[in-house]
Amino acid sequence: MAKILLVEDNEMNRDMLSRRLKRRGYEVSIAVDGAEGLKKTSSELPDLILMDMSLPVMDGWEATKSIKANPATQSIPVIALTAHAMSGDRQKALDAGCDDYDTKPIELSRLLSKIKTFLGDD
Amino acid sequence: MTDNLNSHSILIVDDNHNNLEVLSETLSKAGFQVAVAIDGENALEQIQYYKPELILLDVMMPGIDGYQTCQRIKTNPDTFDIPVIFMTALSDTEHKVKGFALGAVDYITKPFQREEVLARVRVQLQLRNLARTLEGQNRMLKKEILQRERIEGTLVKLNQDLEDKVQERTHKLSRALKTLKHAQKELVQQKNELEVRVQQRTAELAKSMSEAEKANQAKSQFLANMSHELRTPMNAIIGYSEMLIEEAEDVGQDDFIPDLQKIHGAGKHLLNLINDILDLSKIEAGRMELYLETFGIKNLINETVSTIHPLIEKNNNTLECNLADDLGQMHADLTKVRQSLFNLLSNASKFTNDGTISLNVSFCTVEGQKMVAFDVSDTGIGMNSSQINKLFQAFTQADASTTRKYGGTGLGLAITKKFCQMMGGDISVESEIGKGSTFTILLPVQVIDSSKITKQSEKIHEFKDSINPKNTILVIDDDPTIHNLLARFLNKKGFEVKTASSGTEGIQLAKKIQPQAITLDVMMSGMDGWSVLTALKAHPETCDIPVIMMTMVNDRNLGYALGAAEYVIKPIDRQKLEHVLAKFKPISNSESILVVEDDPGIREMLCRQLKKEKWKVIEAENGKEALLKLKQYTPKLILSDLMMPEMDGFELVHRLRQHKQWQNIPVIILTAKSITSEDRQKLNGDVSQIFEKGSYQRSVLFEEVSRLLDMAIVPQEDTVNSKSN
Repeated sequence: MAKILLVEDNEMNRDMLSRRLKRRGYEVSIAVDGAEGLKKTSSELPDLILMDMSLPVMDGWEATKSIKANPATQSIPVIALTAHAMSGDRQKALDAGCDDYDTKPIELSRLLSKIKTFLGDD
Repeated sequence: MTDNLNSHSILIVDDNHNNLEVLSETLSKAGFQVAVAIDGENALEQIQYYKPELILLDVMMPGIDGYQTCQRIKTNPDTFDIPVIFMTALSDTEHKVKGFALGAVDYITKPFQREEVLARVRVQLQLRNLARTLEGQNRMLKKEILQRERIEGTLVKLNQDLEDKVQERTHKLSRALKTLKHAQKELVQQKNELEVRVQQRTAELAKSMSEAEKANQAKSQFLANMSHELRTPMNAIIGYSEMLIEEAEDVGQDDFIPDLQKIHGAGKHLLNLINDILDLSKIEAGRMELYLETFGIKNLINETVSTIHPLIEKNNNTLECNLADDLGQMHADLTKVRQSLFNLLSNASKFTNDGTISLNVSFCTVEGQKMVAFDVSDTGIGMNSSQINKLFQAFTQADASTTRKYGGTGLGLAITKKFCQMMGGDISVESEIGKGSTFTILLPVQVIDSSKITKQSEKIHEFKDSINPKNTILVIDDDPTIHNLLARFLNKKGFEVKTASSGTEGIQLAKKIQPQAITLDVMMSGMDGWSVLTALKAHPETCDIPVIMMTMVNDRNLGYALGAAEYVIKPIDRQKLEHVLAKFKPISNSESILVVEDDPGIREMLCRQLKKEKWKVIEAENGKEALLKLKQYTPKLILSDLMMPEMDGFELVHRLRQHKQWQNIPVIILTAKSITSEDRQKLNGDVSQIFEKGSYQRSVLFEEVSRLLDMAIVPQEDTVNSKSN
């Protein structure tokens, strides 16, 4: 089953999303800040990354830029999770190299369909 | 006087009877009154009783002689002035001298010569008379002198009084002046103090205003942050309830599910409210940004319609979309346009039951800018005018009961309006209680993102302003095929077209957009054309708009009688219609332009360039001259400088806008003055365009000139009167 790296500093969001993804059969790995996210991307090479943008230590934009700059990881799709209606954030996410974006709060069905698009399974 | 002498009384004193007789007779005959005395005593006695005018006195008499008698007469104050003539035989000088010394006036020697006596008597009497007259005159003179002296004295006193008074008054005045000067000084000081205080107060006010603004910004900022903080726990509530629903399904605890769904639904509702508040506070804090992208209008509609479908069906409504195949693309903030459309459609479905909601897209040109209009109509409960007025204000719904019945924050339309304005457009509404509402979002097809966007949107306050009335024909007809047919035909002829499907709608629209002319169908369901025509002519706002009646019924006279300008028989003969509309056609290049410029070099150059483009040019050196020229010619456009002697451009524009005949003449400002925002405000809405000398391109200016001339329409004077022919 596909492995998803969830980079999220908010504990409740992390808990919810990881549990719901696991329930749908995904293997979920967790990182709590951008730096850890970057490290785990290299070490675990997940199939897809869900990246919160406002993160401590290293923010999501920076982490995404590094992931996309590394040939070993640049093909891993990154879905940015941005705040509601923050069009500036969204544009920044795309500029940083994110493959797609979704707005928080998460609407699970929408996010799942995006994940499926990248992972190519049903 | 001589005549009267004879009537005077004369006393003759003589002891000789014969003498007395002769003298008496002589004098009596001459007309004198004569008295006689025979001696001195007798004479003195008589004189006591009456005073003769003259006394003829004998010298030698028994008793007291003439000299003694004379002496006594002359010593008596009562008689001293009576002239005495002595009569005596004595002719020696000594006696005569004695007589004169005693006061006699003359001397008659006996024997008498009658003529001599009369002559002497007369002379003496005359002398006495003269003396008396002199005396009288002297007395009068003395009296007069006395009077004069008295008057002079009075005058001197009066003068003195006056001088005193003048002095007193002068003194008083100088004191008053001093007081006044003092008061004035105090006033000046008070005025200065007041000015200082006003300045202080103004500064304080400005400060508190800026503080209030800051506070307001801080409030909006706080609200924005707070809303953000609120959303985090909301995420948890929504997320965990969703998870619990899934888990309950998994473990078969189905009876938990409805309650969990309620928690989930309430959480989502609350989140929506928070999002609305966040949007609005971001807009108010000036932190809402535009993210402009190019997208297909048809895609936008399809996407929105598919999202809204569940809501439409909820109240058993149907959605109608009358869309052309190729709507093309627009450049705008997709999310905000989508949110706005969604909001209108969601409102329409909320306030309509078992009805029809329709979505239409059309295009028009406003001030040279291509605009797209999204109309969302419903057949719902509708609104009255006071509800409409509150509609776009934040935190107010049509009324409080609406919130209870229909839910929502009441922020949706306020946010939609702000979104539209941010993109240089606006939203408007028409509604009728019980019939339904139509909301129209008008947006530029190419939205320009600039900090000035809000300023531009202020220009389009109302839908009314967004249509160029000079170029618009309103088609009132209940047959949509006629709408189409006329719209296409009129568009080709250079008109903008607005349509109305009923008389009521037509009248409302006519008031709102003030079209150049109206075509009106006679046979319509509901209110027929005649009633519409009557209503239009009865209303001051619409009575001047020419109405062209379109009908199958040939009832020309009724039409003209009711005030129709023209009459066209259906089926419409295009040539005939074109002929009729020629009267309302846009004018061509041959029309004149008034150039107002004080610099002869610039004026000459500008005029030459304009003439090269085959435009007629009228010149004026300043605003004052321009107004004079306007009385002779009515140009179709004015190009004006701002800084000019006699009357500047600001004043000229101001005058033009107050003048009924000139207020619609478009004005382009050409100026070397760098335009301040205050200047702009002064000219706001009154001029079509401002070009700064030296920084504009000639071609851009001429395009603008050409555009404005094309837009201008001259209603020919005979249009309105033609009904009488």
